[in-house]
Parts: sequence; C-alpha cells; structure tokens
Amino acid sequence: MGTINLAIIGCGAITQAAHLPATKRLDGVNVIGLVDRDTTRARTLAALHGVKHTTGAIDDLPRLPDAAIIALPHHLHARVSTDLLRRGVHVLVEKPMALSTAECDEMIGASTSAGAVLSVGLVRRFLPEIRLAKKLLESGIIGNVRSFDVREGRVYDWKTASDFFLKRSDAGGGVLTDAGVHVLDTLQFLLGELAVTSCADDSYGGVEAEAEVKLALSNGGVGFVELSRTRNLRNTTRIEGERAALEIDLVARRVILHRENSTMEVEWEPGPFGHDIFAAQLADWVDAIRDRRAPMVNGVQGRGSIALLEACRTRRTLLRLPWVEPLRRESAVGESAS
Amino acid sequence: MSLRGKRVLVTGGTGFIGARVVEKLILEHGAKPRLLVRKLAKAARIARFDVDIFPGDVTNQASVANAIDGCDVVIHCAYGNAGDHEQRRAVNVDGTAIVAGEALRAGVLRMVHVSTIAVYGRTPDGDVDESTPLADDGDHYSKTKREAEQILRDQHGSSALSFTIIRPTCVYGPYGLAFTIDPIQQLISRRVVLVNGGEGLCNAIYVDDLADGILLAAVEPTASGETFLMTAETPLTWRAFYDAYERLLGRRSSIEMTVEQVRAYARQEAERKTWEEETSERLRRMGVPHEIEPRREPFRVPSENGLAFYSARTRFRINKAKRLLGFRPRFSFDDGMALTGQWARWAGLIPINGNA
Repeated sequence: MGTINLAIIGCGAITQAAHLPATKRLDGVNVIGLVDRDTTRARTLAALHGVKHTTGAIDDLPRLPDAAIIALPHHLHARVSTDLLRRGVHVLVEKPMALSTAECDEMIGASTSAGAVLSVGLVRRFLPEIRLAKKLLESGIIGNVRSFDVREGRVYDWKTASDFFLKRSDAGGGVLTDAGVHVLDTLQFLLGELAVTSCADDSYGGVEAEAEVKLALSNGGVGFVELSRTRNLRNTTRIEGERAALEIDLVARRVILHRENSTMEVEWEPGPFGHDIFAAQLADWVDAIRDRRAPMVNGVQGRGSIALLEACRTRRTLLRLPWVEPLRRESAVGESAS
Repeated sequence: MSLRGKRVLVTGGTGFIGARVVEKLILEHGAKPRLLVRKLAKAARIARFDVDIFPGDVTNQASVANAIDGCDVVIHCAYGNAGDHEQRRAVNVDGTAIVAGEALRAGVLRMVHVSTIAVYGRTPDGDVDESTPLADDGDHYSKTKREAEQILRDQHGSSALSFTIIRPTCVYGPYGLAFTIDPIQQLISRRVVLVNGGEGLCNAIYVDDLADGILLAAVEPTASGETFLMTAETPLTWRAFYDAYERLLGRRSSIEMTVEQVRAYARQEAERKTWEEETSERLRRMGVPHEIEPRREPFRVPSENGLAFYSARTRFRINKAKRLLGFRPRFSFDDGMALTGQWARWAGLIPINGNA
C-alpha cells in the first residue's frame, strides 16, 4: 500500500492538539479531509494544517478515505466506527472505544469481517514509563501483587471546543468515562484482568466529577481508584507486591521502587511523551494497516475498560459528600439514634 | 410562589455561590436550573447534575437572550473576576444591565442580583443596615458593584421588572475562594496579619445560608424592589475566624499588629524598594551588572482599605431580611466550619503533618 489517505472525523480539542500534529510527523500519510458538524471549526483547522477538504459529513468527502481517526463525542464512536469498518475503512477511534460492550462487539465484528484494522486510542500504553512498569512487574521484582492504589485528579481545564463532555447523553459519563478509562485500561495492561467490587460517584443525573472504584485482581489482590475533576490529587499509581512496591508518577514521569526504607528511581529508555505519544500511536496503527497485523491496542483490548465501566454502572452507588446534603445527613443520624 | 418545576437561569452558576444555588434548586426545590457558562471546563463540578448549560456570557446580549427565554426566575451571580479594570467593569456593570434588560424583555417573575457589602466602602463601628449610605473607598470592585445596583434602581425602579438586590457579607464554605481557600493558602505559605489583634468584626455567612436567602428572595412577593443584607445571626472576631482555620491546619501562622505597626512596616518596605530601584538605576548607568536579590515577603501587608476592613467593628444587621423574607440563618460558625474543614481535607488543601 502506498500513501494512506486519511480523514479525521471530529475536530475538537484533541484533534487540534494531538491528532493533526501527529499526522505531520509521519511519512506516507495524507490527510485528505477534516469532518465536523461545525464546518467553520473544520475549516479553521484545515487552513492551519493545509488540509484540502472539509465537510460536515464523511460521505460528502470526494472519496472514501483508506483510514479514519474518529474523535467524536463518545456516543457516536460505535455508530461511526462500525459504519466505516464495514465499508473497509481502517479506524483509529478515540477512547472510550464505545459506551457498551455490545457496541464494542459490533465494532470488533465489523473489523474482522471486512479485514479493516481497528485500533483504540488508549495512548498511555505507548508511554515508556508504563511499558517499563509492565516489564518490571512481569520480571517478578516486586513479587505477587497484593494491592494497588490510584489517585488521579486535577482541576479540570481541558480546552474543550464543545460542551458534549458535560452531557450524559453525549459523553456517556464524566470522569470515569474520560480519565477513568485510561486508568482502568492501564491497570488491566499492567496487572491483568480486574473485577469491579464497588463504585461510588457523585452524579445526580449529570456527569460525575468524582468517583471511587474498588477492584479485585484474579489472585485475590485488591485495589482502589479515586478520580476527580475538581481536586488536585496525588496523581500516582502505587502497586504493592509481596516483596516491594512500585509507584508510577505520570506527572513527574518517575517510576520508583520502594521497600521499607529503600527507594530506587528506575530510569527508562527515552521515548515519546506528552502529545508525542499520539505520533507513536498513529505510526503503530499505520504499520498495522501496511503489515496486515494487529495494532498495539486492538478492539478486544479496548473493550476491556468498557467492560469495567459497565460493571461500575451496575454496582454504582451515590458518593455522599457531607456538605452536599448536610441537613439530610443530620436527620439520618437522628433516625439511627432513635 | 414555589420554585418547583420553575426554570431558573443562574449566571455565575459554576462559581462558589452560584453553584450552591444551583445544587439547592435541584436538591431542595425541584426546580430546573439553566446555566450561562463562559468557560465550559469550569462546569465540571455542576455538570454532575442534570442542568441545561448555555455557552455564553453576560456581556454577550444574544447569549443572555438565548439562555433567558422561557425562564421564570433569574439569579445573577456572575461578576468580573479576571482581566483588567475595563473587562471587570464590562461584566459587573454592562453585564448586569444586559441581564436585567433581557429579564424584562423575557418577562421573568423575579431577578435576584447578588451584590456585596463592598458597596458600602469603609464601614463604621456599630450597626450597618440597608439604609446606611453607600460610599466610595477608591476600590474598583466596590465602585462597579455600586454602579450595577444603581442601574437596577434607575432603569428598573419603575419598569415591569421585579428585582431584588442581595448584599452578602463574608461568604465561606466548600469551594469558597476569598474566605476559605485564600485564608488556608495564606496561613500555609506565610504569616497572616491580624490587624489590632484580630479584634475587628468578621461578619461571616456559611454559603448554604446565603443560598437559602437568595432563593427566598427569588420567590417572596415582598422582596420586589428591595435590597437585603445577608449574614449570620452574630459576627465573630477576625481572631476567631482565623483561629478556626489555624486549628484545621494544626499550626499558628498569624501575627498580631496594630494599624500603626502595619503602616510603619509598609513605609519601611516602600523606602527599601525606592532605595533598591534608585541604586539599581545608578549601577545601570555606571554599566555595573547587578541583580536585586528577590526577597520573600514574610506576610502580605494589608492596604489602607484592608486595614479599615479588618479593624472595623461593624455589625451588619439582617432584621429586614428576617422580617420581609423570613430569612433564618441555620449554620453557626462552628457548624459551617466543620463542613468547610471536611471539604478542605477532602480537597487536599490541608497538608498532612509529618512525613506521610
């Protein structure tokens, strides 16, 4: 296959900040069109990056692309991906892959039957510190994993181009569906299959800003994940093994081994970081298309975090924060006392 | 009038007071709030409720018109907290005129305008109520908030718009900036001056009590055209106010100074700065390379307005709100601070002592 003709569907903040710049850094990829319902937005980005065609719908492009990056509001991921895969178009879909495992299965089925490569934008798997952590865990250096603890939260400041992420109907959820999918995917990548034992979030019908998830490992180990869009949390992953502990800090870009009073910082091979990982992701997908192989993150792997999201929804309870309904809490105390 | 099922536009609905009003509209009143939102990312907290979010801002008339259509009530909490004086004036003054104008056009039943006690300028010792004259203390925020109130009274005093003005005192509670996050961060990062030993009066109100008061003003027929002060039943001293935060932090960072000591220190600092600048200029002209060593201020020196604010023994009275609205603050300072402390710990604002 010569040059791959690529379309980018959805011209939000991630397309501007990451996907479009990534295409510039790769030979043999030609962006033939930008598609967005907001055609003014599409035209602005097209002018910045020298893309010829912009349309409001993919079928208005002069020709069907060989491949498409899908960076749409979450509720459209499955529908648009499945449609394109069935027509033989290779798809790189942003995370979350879809909003249900049933949708994931349709996408995987369409990819298999049409022979189109489906990759899911779980970019953290490309981070050198995550890959190093996986290597360390597999080497047995910390022994069997007993527990893990993830705190990830920052005051939300994503330079969003639309308000879809504030709507449950479009985003499918809040912090769990957004940052949470990365966290859950990374944990399964590092530790193997997980099961959700409980999930509490602060949604009152809208998209949650806070979530607490308890998980179980297949070896009996347990884990806790705390996510926030309103607070700056510790922002590290701590994994306790029977011999030592491993801590991954994606902000400071550190991987640390702890044991009693010993602390060791582990260095990794230089690799992509920040938005550069999108170029690595794109290169992997393009190579997979050329070499007719599976990409680093295929549909089945992408489905894993969606299965956990589904389990979270099933077990979901309201995260009760004392200052939200203080008077109700007082009356509840009164009831239990009487 | 009940708020059940009513459409209520809240400007500034992603902010400290506005977001709490929105939460109460849903949790306690069964109303349907709408938010006019300038920065969508800031709506992360309030979007956990099923609210209608309208992108726009109060200085953009078309966006206000779009958001206000079909609303029964408007609660105007937005104020200019960013940019230069002109940008802040545009939000505080022009924005209020636009919201009021559109509220009139859309035929809303009530507009509640959230003002501030800053409109009084420097306040005297003793009682202050809604009849106390407003004065200029040279502060830009205070001036623009006075002008916003004046627009409502001048342009809508005899129009068909039913408006109510609320003047909150020092509002504290979860997500609060000026009287919650700021004091905590100041006490952590440097020493805080307690003017005159902190004997001045702090008229504090827990955010839930203010939100309840605002929602009373949104529905009470007697509130039309009126202005109400809102604070807790009794003031406390600034000493007691900062004590509560110091207990939460487990450290003492405040220092007591008289007004004269603060002024003497400020003069000394000004002289030091002048000497540094003059010397630096002379060295520059002599072609001598040099660098002024940055000096960390041990504490923030209160301005003259600050000295007046923290030393005044003013007591804001809420008799009018009690009489006409049935306003009854429910949170003692201890109760309000207990919740504020729980929130601050959860929000990660309180450093853990030791090497944890």
